[in-house]
Amino acid sequence: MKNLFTKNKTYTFISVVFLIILWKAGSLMVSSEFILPSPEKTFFSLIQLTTEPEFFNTIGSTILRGLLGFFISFILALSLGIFAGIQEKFRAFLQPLLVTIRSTPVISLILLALIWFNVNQVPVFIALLTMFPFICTNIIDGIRNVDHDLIHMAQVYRIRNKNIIRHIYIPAIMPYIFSGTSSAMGFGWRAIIIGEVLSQPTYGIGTLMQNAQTYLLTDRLIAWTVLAIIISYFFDLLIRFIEKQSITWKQT
Amino acid sequence: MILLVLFFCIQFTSCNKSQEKTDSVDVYTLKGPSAISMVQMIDETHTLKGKEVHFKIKNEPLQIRSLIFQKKADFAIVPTNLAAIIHNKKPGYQLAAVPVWGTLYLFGSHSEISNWEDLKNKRIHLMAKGMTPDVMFRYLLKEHGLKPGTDIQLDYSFPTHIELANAVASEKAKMGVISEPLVSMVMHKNSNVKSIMSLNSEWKKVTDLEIPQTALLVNKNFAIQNPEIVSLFLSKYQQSCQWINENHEKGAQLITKYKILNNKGIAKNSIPRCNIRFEYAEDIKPLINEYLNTFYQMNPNIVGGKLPDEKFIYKK
Repeated sequence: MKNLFTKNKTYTFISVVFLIILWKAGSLMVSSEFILPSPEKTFFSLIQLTTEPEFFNTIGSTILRGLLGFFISFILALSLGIFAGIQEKFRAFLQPLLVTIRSTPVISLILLALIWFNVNQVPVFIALLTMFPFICTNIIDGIRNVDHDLIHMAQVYRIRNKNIIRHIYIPAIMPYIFSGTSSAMGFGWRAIIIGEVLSQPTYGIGTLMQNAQTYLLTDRLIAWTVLAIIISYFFDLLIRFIEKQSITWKQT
Repeated sequence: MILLVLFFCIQFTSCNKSQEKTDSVDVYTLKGPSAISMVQMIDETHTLKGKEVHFKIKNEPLQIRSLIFQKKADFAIVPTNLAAIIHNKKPGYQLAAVPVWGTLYLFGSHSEISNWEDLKNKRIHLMAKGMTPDVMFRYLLKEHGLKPGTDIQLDYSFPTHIELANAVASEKAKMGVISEPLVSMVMHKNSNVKSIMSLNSEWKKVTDLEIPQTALLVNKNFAIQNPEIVSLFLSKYQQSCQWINENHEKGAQLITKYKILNNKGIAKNSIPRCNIRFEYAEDIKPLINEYLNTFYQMNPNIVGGKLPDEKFIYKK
């Protein structure tokens, strides 16, 4: 088992190296720093970005917007999702709303948000609307997949409702919450940055990406992209870590 | 990975296309003062030395930027600072002439404002962060001791000219910085909207210089192969710029004919405010350098990291 794990890691490593070599070859072929800068130039720009005075404000603002959007949508999704999971009528009521939000192009949401809200609220609103349907749908699915016989049995044995929720419902929907959160976050970060590009708040990764695009600073544009990927990846790892913790907690 | 493969596919297909470029003279201009300055030429000049001339009017400078990189344009109009960025990043185009001299206005429905002090704690809408209207306005703010973010709020939520013009017309944006002829258009739509300041005259007060705002670029290879066409084009363009200033009535007709504006009255009012005057770049080199240097001092990236060298200017 362990052997297999390290073997997979080797392949991951090869894949990353392959990608960088391909990138380098591409930049040599194009031989124009502003069309496709070399990986090392981009790496230096990345290092340089982190030393700039506004770096932490920029990264921090984007992350804060993401987290704010996430928490609002999470609380909303949890309360509506649980209710819809239990109440079939409410579920039927909620379903069209979820489908509509999920199918609306992100860019329409942004263009509307630019009319409705002020600049700093736009990315948060986008984050909220893109993440909410993912989490909510997953929670509904989780509740519906709870073993009904088990609940029935618990009721027969007169186990208190509080304990039914704690020992049957919550453990059953946990995996759904985590997978919903994970995909919601992956989608959410991208949406936030699009929102920032268009709304141009004072601080934000998207703001500086647009700036780099205007001035043809392609290395900086790619460096910010790499940072956005790192942020998204970090939060994905964090969610998996919390998931692991909660499973061990469940088993003890 | 997929992205990279895709990148190469697109790169190669576009290379092939640019080789197939037809034997015509392709001119790209911007909707607004630059198109107005060219309108007589658009109407009359269909061939030059036997080659067909195609004029195309685009909405945004960035659309023209990509046509320049694909070498599809023989002549192209862009803001002067963008011309410098292009020259510094990928030489191949030269600045031949400056046809438009400052057409930006601060305007809106805040009628009580008349000087810079009044702008304190107000919200002002700008479009396209980093482009001419934005950097020019920021420069003037700095010169008047106003700090964006603390003394004054700058808002970029309407990203293009047209969106910002509509926002000011509907008073969703109380104040904005925008170019003619949209200023005239909005003031015509909504009589609450007034012109508050001409950035042109404010700039003159501070720097004692005029604004060589717009650049006519010529493709260097095209110019080497067709020097006669280039000089003919430039003299026709110079005539077109003179003609529009002398013929407001007929000019307005052509402006609506080529759909630069859709109202003759507005077009007529806006012509004198467009500040059209043709100057060969070679004749005004020091002025262009000083203009770019002002931006360079603010942030070198505005002109592409460094001041452009000698080769930037096309020699007649």
